[in-house]
This record gives sequence, C-alpha cells and structure tokens, in this order.
Amino acid sequence: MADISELEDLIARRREERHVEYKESQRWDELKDKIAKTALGMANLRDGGYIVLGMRRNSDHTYAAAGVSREDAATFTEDSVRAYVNSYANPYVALQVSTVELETKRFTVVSVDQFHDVPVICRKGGVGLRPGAIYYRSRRMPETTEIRDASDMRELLDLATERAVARFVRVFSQFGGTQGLPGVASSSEQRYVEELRGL
Amino acid sequence: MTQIASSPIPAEAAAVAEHPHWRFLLRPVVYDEHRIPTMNDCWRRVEDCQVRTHRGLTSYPELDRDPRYSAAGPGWVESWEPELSYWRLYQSGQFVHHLVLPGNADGDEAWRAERVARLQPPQPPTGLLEAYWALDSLRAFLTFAGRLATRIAGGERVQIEVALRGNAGILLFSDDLAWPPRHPGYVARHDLSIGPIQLGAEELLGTADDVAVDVAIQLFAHFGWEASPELLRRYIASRA
Repeated sequence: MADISELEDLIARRREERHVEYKESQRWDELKDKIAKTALGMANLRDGGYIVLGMRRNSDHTYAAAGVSREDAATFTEDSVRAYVNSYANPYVALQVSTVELETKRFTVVSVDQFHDVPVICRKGGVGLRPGAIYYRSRRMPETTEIRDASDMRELLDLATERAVARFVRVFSQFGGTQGLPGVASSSEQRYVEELRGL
Repeated sequence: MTQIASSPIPAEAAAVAEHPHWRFLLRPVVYDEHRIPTMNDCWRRVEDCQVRTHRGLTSYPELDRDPRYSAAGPGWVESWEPELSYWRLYQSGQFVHHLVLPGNADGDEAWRAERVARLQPPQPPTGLLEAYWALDSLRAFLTFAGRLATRIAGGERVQIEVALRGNAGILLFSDDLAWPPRHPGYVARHDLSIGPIQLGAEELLGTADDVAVDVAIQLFAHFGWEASPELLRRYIASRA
C-alpha cells in the first residue's frame, strides 16, 4: 500500500523506470488492459513495482504530477483491479490499490508485489496479451514486453530459484526439519473440522 | 428433509438445514487460529467482501448486525435470516454458509405449485432448483470467497467446497423457456458434494466465474443435465 512518502518518491522521479510506470488520469475501463499487462510484467521483477495514475506526459518524455480526477479515481476498486489482472495471471498477481492525496492532488497507485512462488505466466489471450507468454520489464527500456532476451530470462530464472530455496528453508525451519512436514495439511484439516463442530 | 445430526449446531443453522440447502465452505489450507485478529475485523471483512446480487437478492452474504440476527462467540461471528440463511466466519478464516435453495422455504408453496403444474413431472418433486438462481448463488459465493481469501490469505492456497443437502427428489428446471433444462426429468437422487477444490487466493478471485461454471457443470450433471459450458459462460458474462 503506497503512503505519502512513497508517493512523493514515486512522483519525484518524473521518468518511467523499470519499477515505475506512469499513467494519465483515466477511467479503469479505459486503462484496464494496459494495467493488466504492466502488472503481469512487474510481478516478475524483484520487489515488484508501481503504476502511478495522475502523471501527465510532457513533450520531453518527462512526466508532471497532474493528479487524477475524483471520478476517475472512483472507478479503481481493489477488487476490480485484482480480479481483472488475475483473470490473465497464472498462478496469480498480488497487488494493492490506494488513492493518496498530495498537495490538493490525488493519485491512484497500483502496487504490484513480486511473484511469491513461481514467475507469472499469461493465462489467456487479451488486448496485447498472448496466452503462455511471460511478460517482463527489461533493464534496457521501461516498458512491458514478452521475454525475448537470454539475459532477461536468466535474471528471472535466478529470481525463481532464489524464491524456491528461501521457501524450502522457511518451511523446514518452521516445522523442525523433516519432522512433521507431511502432517501439516492433515492437522490443519482436523483443526478446521473440530472448529465447525458439525456445522 | 435433511436429517439433523446430534451435533450441537446452533438452532438457527438447524432451522435452515430442514430445507434443501447449499452448504458453501471456504478455508485457507493452513490453519491459523488468529488469522483474523479481532471479532470487529471479522465483521469488517464480511462487509468489505459482500457481493451485490440481482434477482431479488441484495447482497451475498446477507449481514444484519441487529442482535436478533447476528452474534459473536469465542473466535467467530455469525448472522442469519430465520429459516433461510445462516453463516459463520471464524477468526481462522474458515467461512461456512448454509443457504436454503431459493423457492424452497416455508411460504414458497405457491411458487413451487405453479412451477410443478407447468412442468408436470412424472412424480411430485420434493423441491425445486432453478438453474439461473443456482448459477447466481455459485457465482456470488465464489466471488465473495475470492475477495475474502485475498484479504485474509493473500499469497496462500485456499480450499472451497460446495454441497447440496436435502436434495433427494429435487427437480432442476429453468424459468427461462429459451434455456435448458426444459423437460421434467432432471431429478437429484441424493446429496451432492463438490470439492475440496484447492487454488491460490488470487487465482480464485481472478477466476471465480470460471470456477462457478466448472462447479455448475458438475452440479447440473448430478441432476442428469449435461450443460454446455459455453451456455453457462454466456449467462455468467451477462451477469457481470
């Protein structure tokens, strides 16, 4: 969830970066396909990224903080954004939507988390989206494209491996090494059933 | 009628279970007793995730904070509509909802009689399941479940179960003459349980409509109707 200090930092950059994409004030319906694609790409980056709405593009390709209209901001509900983006994502994209006011202007920020377990793959075709594609934001250009480059793919694979190892260590330390691992699911199930008491 | 077991379930839930009803269940795969920190948070999660529905239902699930229709206990909150609906949300994130099939409560006799007279089934059914309403109910539950799951178990896997209880002898039909099933032979012989289905919380939110179609296909097959997935998808898309 973006707060004011985070937003100040995001706006101050004035140029799009790998982890930051700017959009002008528009309604959710008008932007949803672009946001879905960007979110799919950002989810595959280390630490994810931000999509900031309310930034107007200047002729020199820098951006100015113009703010979003109240009407446009109201069309961005977290449930709608999550549901739409995740209708294209496999396994899923975790994101938050917040609207922050800064010096009388309002900005809507979509904060996209890095993938949790495995990289995000596009689940189905859509506007600018191809089923089976892996979207990414390269170091070279602040834009979302399909992975086509070996170095980008290597970077993503390294990130996925890092996550898998971290998860393995976390699970083992949480449950005392190999002791008890097979019992986790069944003990949870049993506690849920006990909780229901026949309901 | 469903047999009520001797387990100490609340009277409000038992009253619902006397009629043909849905039993919807959502739980995160990993149990955490205090996943939702407080009772107030439990109420707020339900309010935040409620789904606006059509066809006479105003929201899913119904929540009435009037103490005559709601309560909180050690580790859970609950709300009910007498003899129609009863749900409980535990701090663990487990949500269970018993919901009478629309048109099958006491007081709906005229509605049922009018349909039975029109359909003329070979044997009088013990109740009716309207296909549109079934899809609406599934979609409402799964959308709510997706919203709730992402709020309480984001990044984790969750489990859903859908059951029809007390439905032996229930007749599946559609009020829309342009839509199957039209003939009077789609009758359930016994209770039905679908799931558990496990998937990621965000995946559930993003694919609630698809899951609703998958579950509906199994549901309708239980009544002997092989529904066209495309037909169901078109209907669901029209409700979005």
